[in-house]
Amino acid sequence: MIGYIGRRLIHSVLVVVVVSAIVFLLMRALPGDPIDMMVSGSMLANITPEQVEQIRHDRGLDGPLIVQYFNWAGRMLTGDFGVSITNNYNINKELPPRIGVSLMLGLTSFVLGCLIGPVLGILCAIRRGKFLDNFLTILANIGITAPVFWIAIFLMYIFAVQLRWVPIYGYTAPWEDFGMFVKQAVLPITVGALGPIAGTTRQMRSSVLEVLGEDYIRTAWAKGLNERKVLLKHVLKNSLLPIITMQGQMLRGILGGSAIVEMIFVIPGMGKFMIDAMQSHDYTVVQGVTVIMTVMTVACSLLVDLLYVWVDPRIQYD
Amino acid sequence: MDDHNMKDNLAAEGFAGAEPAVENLTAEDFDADGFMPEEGEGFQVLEDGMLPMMDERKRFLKIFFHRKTVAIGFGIFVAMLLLAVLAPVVAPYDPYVQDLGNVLTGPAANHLLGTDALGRDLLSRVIFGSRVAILVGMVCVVVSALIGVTIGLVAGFSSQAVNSVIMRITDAIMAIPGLILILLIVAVFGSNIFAIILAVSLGMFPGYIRLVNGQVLSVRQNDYVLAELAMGAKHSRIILTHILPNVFSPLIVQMSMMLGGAIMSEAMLSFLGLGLAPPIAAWGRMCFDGQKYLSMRPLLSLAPGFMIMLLVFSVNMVGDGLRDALDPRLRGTLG
Repeated sequence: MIGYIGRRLIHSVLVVVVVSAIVFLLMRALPGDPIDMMVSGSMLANITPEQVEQIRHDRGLDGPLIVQYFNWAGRMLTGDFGVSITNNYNINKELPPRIGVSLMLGLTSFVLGCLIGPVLGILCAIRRGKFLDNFLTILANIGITAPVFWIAIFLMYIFAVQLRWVPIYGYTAPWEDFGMFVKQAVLPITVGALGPIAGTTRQMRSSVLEVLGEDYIRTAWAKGLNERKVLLKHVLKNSLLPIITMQGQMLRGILGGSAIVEMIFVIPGMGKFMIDAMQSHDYTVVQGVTVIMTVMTVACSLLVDLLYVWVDPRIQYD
Repeated sequence: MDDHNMKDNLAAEGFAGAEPAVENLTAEDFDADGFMPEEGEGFQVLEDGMLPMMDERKRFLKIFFHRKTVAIGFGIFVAMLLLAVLAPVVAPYDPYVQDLGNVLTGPAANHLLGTDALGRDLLSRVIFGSRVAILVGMVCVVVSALIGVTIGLVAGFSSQAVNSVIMRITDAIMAIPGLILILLIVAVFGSNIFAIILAVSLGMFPGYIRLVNGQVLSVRQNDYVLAELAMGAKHSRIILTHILPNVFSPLIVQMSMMLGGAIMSEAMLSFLGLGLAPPIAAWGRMCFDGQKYLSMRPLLSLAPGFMIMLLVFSVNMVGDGLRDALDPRLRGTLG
């Protein structure tokens, strides 16, 4: 087991290195040089070429690519994300509050999805073919097929424009004005949770139906166990396996997947940060954000694989 | 084929039994559980024509249209295709003609869904938007399948070291957050149709690599393939006669499943302003543009978004139906 985790960790590190290199190269393949863009687009218009070179040097953008990469990667290893190329702020200071905002909204959506989805899925499965099942299945299909931005705009139209229950957009930190925070966060969180809820409901439904047909469930009924015991102890645990895979994939998406929601509701989180940085060709910011997201991704898949062992003792890694 | 051989063998070894009255079996002879009814005991040598085989095409159609939602989805999909093909005939106005004296009107008899901020007829733009969505979606699915299958075949026939390098790079590509990958590609190559197709396809092809690579590795282990290779068969022959027939069904299923995702990705790109350039009617972009007038003319962004949902729903349903009808693992559990 320890050996397996060790190998997986080495593998994960490799993935992070490859991804950071790919993104590093792609960023430099972008048409347009960030220093030129900055110089021509600002009050630095009458600046000498020597000064431009100086700025380039200060930002670590001179020298061969491979040297640039290792300089940057070396600093990353010490936890130094560097300085934004175009806006000159310290990324280490700017990033944590944004990660906080995204995590707070994303995790709330995720937890809601994890709790509500499986429950609805079980309800559907044990009421198979009845009204509740059909109704929830249709809703789940809508949740899966509707684009996130459309759901966001639709809910915004109903609850913010028509009913005026909540403000249209914006974000307030919970410690500044908790009431306002709840009002502004409820729509983004709902939009973020709907996809996971719909996906898990559908998956859980088919998974439970499959388990219900197994011999050991018939045995459990035959033993005279009551419904609660059969469902909670035997069906639930055995049908959770595909759900865990799915939730692992959803957990990765928390930081990045909410970019569209953050854009629509004008929330200062990671996603919006990244899209803005991408548009201004801010190499260091995009690279830093990518590394964080990739680390999240590989950590999640490792976590999921380890959770498997706990849920399903038939699986053994060695 | 294996079934045939087995039955022949059984017959040769004298298992044929007392030839009771097992008539020409059809699917109806099996009861709801899929087990054979009790009365047919003993063995009988079945000739080709007597085997419980249904016409493949009939079986496919029967299972495909068995679920009501699949049938409805298929209907919507066909309607969407017709809409896209016949757009110039169906649309009441030219989707690009501006009428600046007639902007942001509500739904009325002459403009059924109203007009947008430049006075263009919304209904016509929504109808023309189906062309971009369906075309880009389908091209992306085909391109990613071609890339994925090719790399998968190469990986499967390479040495173990090369294979594991290819698979590790595939893992790495899958680990890049999808949105970043798409944004980067479009940023590098500009917002033209090739960049969009490349970006959306890159996010999808690793799935095909895994599928084909796994298939090649398992087929290659069979003794008959080893024998064929030993006799000097070329890889191309193995691919054509053994691998492609095996991969065909899962490939079709996976492509149909990915079509919904591709349409969604294109809509998202276009919503972020990275899709096809503005005058072209693309649903995602229309949603974004309409958001500004949400309180006044909600249809401007709600209508195109609804079409995306409808199209993705119908495509997913067709994919579900294809999976039920083509996936051998599901055979016999449905219909």
